[in-house]
Amino acid sequence: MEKIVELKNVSKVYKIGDNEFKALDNIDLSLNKGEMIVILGPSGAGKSTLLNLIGGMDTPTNGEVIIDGENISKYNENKLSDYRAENVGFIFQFYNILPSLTVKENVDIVKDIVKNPISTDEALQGVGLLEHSKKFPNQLSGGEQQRVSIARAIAKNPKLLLCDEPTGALDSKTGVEVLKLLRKQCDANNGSNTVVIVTHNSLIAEISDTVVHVKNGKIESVIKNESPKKIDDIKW
Amino acid sequence: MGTLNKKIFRDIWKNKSQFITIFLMVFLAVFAFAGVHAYMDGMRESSKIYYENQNLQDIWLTSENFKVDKLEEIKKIDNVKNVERLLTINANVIDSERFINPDNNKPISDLVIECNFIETNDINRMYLMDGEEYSKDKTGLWLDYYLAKNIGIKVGDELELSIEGNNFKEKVMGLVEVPDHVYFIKDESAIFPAHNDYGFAYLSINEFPKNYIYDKVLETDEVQDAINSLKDLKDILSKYGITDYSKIPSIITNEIDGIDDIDLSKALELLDNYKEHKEEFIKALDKDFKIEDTYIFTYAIADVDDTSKVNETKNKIKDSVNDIITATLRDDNFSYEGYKREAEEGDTYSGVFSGLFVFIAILSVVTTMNRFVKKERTQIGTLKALGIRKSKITRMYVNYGLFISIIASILGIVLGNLLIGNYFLEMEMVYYEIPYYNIVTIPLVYEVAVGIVIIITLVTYLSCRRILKEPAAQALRIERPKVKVKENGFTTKKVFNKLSLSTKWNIRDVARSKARTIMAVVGIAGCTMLVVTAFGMFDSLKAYVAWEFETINNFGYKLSLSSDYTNKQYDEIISKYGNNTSQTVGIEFKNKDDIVIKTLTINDSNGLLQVTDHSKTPFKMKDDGLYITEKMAQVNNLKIGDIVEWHIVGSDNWYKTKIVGLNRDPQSQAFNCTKIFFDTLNEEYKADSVYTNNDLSNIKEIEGVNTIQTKKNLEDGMNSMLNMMYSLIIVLIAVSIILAVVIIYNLGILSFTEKEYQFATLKVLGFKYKQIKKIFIKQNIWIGVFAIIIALPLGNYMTDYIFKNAIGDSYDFEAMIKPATFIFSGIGTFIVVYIVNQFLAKKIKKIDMVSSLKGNE
Repeated sequence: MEKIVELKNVSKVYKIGDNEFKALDNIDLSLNKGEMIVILGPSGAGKSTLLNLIGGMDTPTNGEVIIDGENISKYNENKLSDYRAENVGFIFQFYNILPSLTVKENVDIVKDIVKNPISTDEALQGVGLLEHSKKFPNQLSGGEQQRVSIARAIAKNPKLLLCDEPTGALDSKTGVEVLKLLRKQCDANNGSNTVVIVTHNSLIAEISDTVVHVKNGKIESVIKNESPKKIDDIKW
Repeated sequence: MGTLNKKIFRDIWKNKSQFITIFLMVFLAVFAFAGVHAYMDGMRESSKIYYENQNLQDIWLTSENFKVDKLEEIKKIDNVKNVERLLTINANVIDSERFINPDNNKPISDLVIECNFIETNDINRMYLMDGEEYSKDKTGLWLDYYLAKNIGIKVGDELELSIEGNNFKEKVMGLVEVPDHVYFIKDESAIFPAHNDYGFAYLSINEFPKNYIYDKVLETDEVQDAINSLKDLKDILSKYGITDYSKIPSIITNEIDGIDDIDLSKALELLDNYKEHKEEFIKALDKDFKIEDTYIFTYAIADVDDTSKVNETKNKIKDSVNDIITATLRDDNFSYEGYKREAEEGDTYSGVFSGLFVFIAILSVVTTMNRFVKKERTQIGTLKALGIRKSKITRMYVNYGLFISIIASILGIVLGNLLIGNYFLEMEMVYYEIPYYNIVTIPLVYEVAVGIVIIITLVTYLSCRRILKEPAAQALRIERPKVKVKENGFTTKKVFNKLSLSTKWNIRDVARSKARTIMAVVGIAGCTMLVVTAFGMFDSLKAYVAWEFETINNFGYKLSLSSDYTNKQYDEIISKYGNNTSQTVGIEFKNKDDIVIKTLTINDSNGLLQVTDHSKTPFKMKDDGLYITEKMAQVNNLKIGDIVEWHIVGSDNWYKTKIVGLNRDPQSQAFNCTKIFFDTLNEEYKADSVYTNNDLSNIKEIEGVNTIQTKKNLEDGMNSMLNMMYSLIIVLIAVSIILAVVIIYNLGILSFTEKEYQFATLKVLGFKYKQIKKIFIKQNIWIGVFAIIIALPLGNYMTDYIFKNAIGDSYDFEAMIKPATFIFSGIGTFIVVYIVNQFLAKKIKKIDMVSSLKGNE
């Protein structure tokens, strides 16, 4: 299968005072295009660091991060911005939508940075929020806010959708809704979109195509899930 | 050190930019406030102590002559504690060329000393700077310390003085300063005191040149009649061959009135050479003649027991004692009033400035502290969840602002006193003769500093308590910014839909962060207003000088005539330099129950001394009444058409005259009229000034003229006096600009900190630095531009307020700010806003997306 993400000998070291902390320790990892990938591990394992490096939010201390054939680890600030704008959609645990913009405007904002975004209405329709488009974020529930965040991410029509604990702040029912949307995004564009979910919730791993186990800054295992469960079948 | 205390110091270090700006704002405000007060209050308090110690008189009196019995009469009036009389006359120093004028390093051609001959010195006591104490029985003179210091006269030096040709020598016994000569100028045409070619001296009345008195006595009609009679008698006696005047037949002597008082034989003997034997001759004419009885004391000074009744006492003296020409109080005294006005002038404008500094700084610091505590919300929640008592948590957060504001306030007071206070007090006191002066810190300064600390502490306390009121679990969660639909709904409709997202985002952010926005507008507008006002004061003072010297004074030279010029000298002067003259007389006019003393200028200058109307345009006065300056009309509630009842000081002729017009003068509030009108009153016109545009640059002396002044000299004098004000304005401008930079920086930091996580989100989405910077700067530029637009007219209003209401009734000028000043102040502030925000925008580059977003979680 075609590779979308390749990490070669990647390390990330943080300096805290005089001490060094290895968040990622010389890892190699390949992720396939069109898959829903779950990165699983306990707190402090390095999974979010991994996601940040893939998303161009951070740069490795050593090694290469190759996305769709391009080594982004050498990119400067501007090129990284372009990379994030054109290729990556982010979804966070606490949504990070802009409180001063309406639902529609929060999605519209991507038009300023992406050449060929999908229409805002289509994105909102996709997450079922078209009728709330004129509301401000604080008028929405947590699940709805996360759906705005998904709409904003998918409006960019990104190659990679990176999600950091996307259901962490949601109840189970809303969490299921969100996961369904993520799967839908993965299956869109003839299955060419890739969704990477970072979580410590092993149940989510059951619906993924590939599960990457991270522990102590190292890749413990990469397991192919030959028969992913349907989302409605998982029990929270 | 407790763990919580460690946290305080670490937090301060972590948020050092904000805490440094808090420190700077409090420091600058207190620094300017304390500094300006230190010297203003120093001026006021020093003079108060000096006046009290040296017993400055409460009442000034003038009369034809204060004889002993009149003095006794005054002493008997209720509330009068003591009265002393003075004989004041100008003397020229002979051989003055031996002294060098420090201003031009040239020998002094004409050194004039105002000699005050006194008896006792219990009122208005001299302060001895060097030499020995004054006593009536001592010979010598006590000289103006300022003059002596300037031209190098020392105790023990001898000066030869001349009063109208009567020369006498006096040894300098002491160098003194005197409380009613704190502000002493040569004459009214001088603006600031130099004490280079004039000064004052005090001498015992016994030192008064006797020949001067004898000459005056011999000039009297009575003595001249006696001389003529003696001459006739001598002729008759010689016809009868009588040459032994001791044997004049009684048939003749019996015919002479008052013969018992006359030593006739001696008078006849001395008659031919009486000018060589003035004293003997006068004593021959009047056996009881005592020179003490002939001194003419035209001035008297009085001290009262109860100063609250001084006005009644003054009126009682004037009403009950005969021939009192004027009776005035301290506020009418040139020296007292001039000094007081100077202290009060600065007091008002610097008070307005430093008050605003404090207001803006408090507003800014309070907002910052409030925001800081809000930012600490989750930490407060954590501490509460850990079980730490509310009071302990509150105390910890209160300590942030408390420590910083206390240190900044103390430093502000100390450095404000030392730097601004001392510097300006020294600079100001060059013009005034007060032997001891010091900066003073009045309780108000401490109260303001303590007030600032309390307000900051209180706001921090309230912000902290508000968070602590919430359950710990809730306080642990970050407070999500709320956008109220009611307030922002309009921005989702109509024209707003066409605006860019960044514009809409900023509009809503402004609406959401009202307190911060209002504080930003007030802060920037306040600082811009201060800058406009400070520069506006420059412009206005320059416009005032131009009004006085380019419009009103339309002459090249002003000749101030001697008080005793002869008709011949006068005719010669006007034939040479033109008949362009004026006379200024003191008048009293009735205003309801009060008698007000003012001056009347009779203008016959043919346009060389112009009179200007409301819009400062010269006009020609009509000849049918009095003109009054607008400010004086306003102060005394007078208007055109009113009838004023007035008289010239020293004359009993009261007139009722209609006010026929108003004029404006920037520095002299008085009555004006034409000579044609004045002549209709049958009063004698005696010019005291002649104006000319002839070139007098090579003329040093003119007979009958006291001083020759060029317009340029007058203007330079005015500018020298204003230099002090200019210097203070420069300091105020500097503080305003520094405060503006600090406040704009602080606002930028606040604005940035509050939006940091939103910028991090935009950065994650792929927005580039320039795009985010545009969003960030846009809002601050809007606020800046809006504040500047508000500030420009406010600056004009404030300048106007200072000039119109705060600088005393003798001045009349308003804000006259050049358009360029508004433009430069506006653009200047805008540039500061722009540069500071550009600088702050660099922080966007440093936003760590990961930790910003995690921090937000």
